[in-house]
Amino acid sequence: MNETNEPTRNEDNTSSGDQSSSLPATYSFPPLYTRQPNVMIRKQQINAWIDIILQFAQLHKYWIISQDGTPVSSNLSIFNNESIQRSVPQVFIDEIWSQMIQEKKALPVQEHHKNINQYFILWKDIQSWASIILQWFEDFNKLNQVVTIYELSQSDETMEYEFHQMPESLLKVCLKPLCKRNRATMLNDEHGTPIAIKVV
Amino acid sequence: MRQFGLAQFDDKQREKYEDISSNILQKQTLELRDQLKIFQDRLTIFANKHNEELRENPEFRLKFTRMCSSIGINPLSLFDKDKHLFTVNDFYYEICVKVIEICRQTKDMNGGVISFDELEKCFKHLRVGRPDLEKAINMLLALDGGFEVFEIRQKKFIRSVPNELTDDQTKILEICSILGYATASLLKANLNWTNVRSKAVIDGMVANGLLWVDKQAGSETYYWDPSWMARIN
Repeated sequence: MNETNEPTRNEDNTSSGDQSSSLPATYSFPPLYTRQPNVMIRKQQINAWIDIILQFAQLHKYWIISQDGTPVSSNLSIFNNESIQRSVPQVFIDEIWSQMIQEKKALPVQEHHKNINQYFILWKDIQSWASIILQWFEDFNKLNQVVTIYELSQSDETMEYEFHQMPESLLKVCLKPLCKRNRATMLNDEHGTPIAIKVV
Repeated sequence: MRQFGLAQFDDKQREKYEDISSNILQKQTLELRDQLKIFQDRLTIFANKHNEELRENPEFRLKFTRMCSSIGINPLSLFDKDKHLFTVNDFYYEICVKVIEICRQTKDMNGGVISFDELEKCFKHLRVGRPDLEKAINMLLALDGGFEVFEIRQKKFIRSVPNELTDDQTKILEICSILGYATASLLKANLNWTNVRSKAVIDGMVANGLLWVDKQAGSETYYWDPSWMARIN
């Protein structure tokens, strides 16, 4: 629903280091940074934020964004807009994240079964990622071969595909639907963590 | 009812004259109808011939519709919509549907009030100009579906939810159209409103989704008009 919700979406995708230049016009709208008291408006506001985060992450290929809104490889928070001197208060940030998780557009990053206050940003849902990966296996004649997860993420052969450089931990999640459909088998190392996959 | 003398004579005469005059009138109207029919046919042939151009060229479309309206023919009713001879007609219907869609989609964002400027932006990629848009919106009004056009400082807005804006609310939107926002002190300085009045009107508008709250603007709370967003870029 968010796709069609924003007729004013900015199509200009040139990234010039300045993050606001490639984001929707709503990003520069000052009251977006204050939690709106009207429930209906707030719903819309949160949707606008989710759109902004997804667009921001997809554009820069930020797979993981920490809770305060900073991508792992950057130090600028999406929730802080210097150009209009507004920032989203923490309480509201939490509300946005929880809605985003509920809509399955963000996934808490877990390390050793602990939440570490970072989120995978899913600008495509897990099923679509799984299909794209499956497509790669078919396109590159990799069926019935063992491919490591590291290869999937880093190899030159996946360069043209959007999942290139996806973090391995996220890849594992995205591969699960394939295993469930009995299209693939995971191969685990001695500690039981999956390291490779065979698609049939 | 027999009449005698002059009266009888008069009546017969009058009947005669009336017959003649109505005959002439009838003839004339028939002729006129024929002429109109011929003209409409010609116009149809013309439009048919330049179908593609009417669709592609907004300026040409405007001139064509202007000519039709100057001789009292509504160009949109001239065309037979069932035969799809004219993409021009479909064209305006399409715009109508799109306008309704946009109004519905943005309702939660702007409380059901959207500026023509913003609408125009949505149509940019479809090669729809301002005159087309205004024409389509005029057609929409015929639906009686609660759509209403109003103006604030010479800027047109369309309201898709059926609740009236009060004078006070309109004044606040007027101020918003200058700076994007209104505050209690702005209202006091410009309209001489008391704080109580400002607060009551503003709170009502926030509740209706017509204004967004901004608490990070310094000492005072700013109330923003969402249609300002269309102007940011």
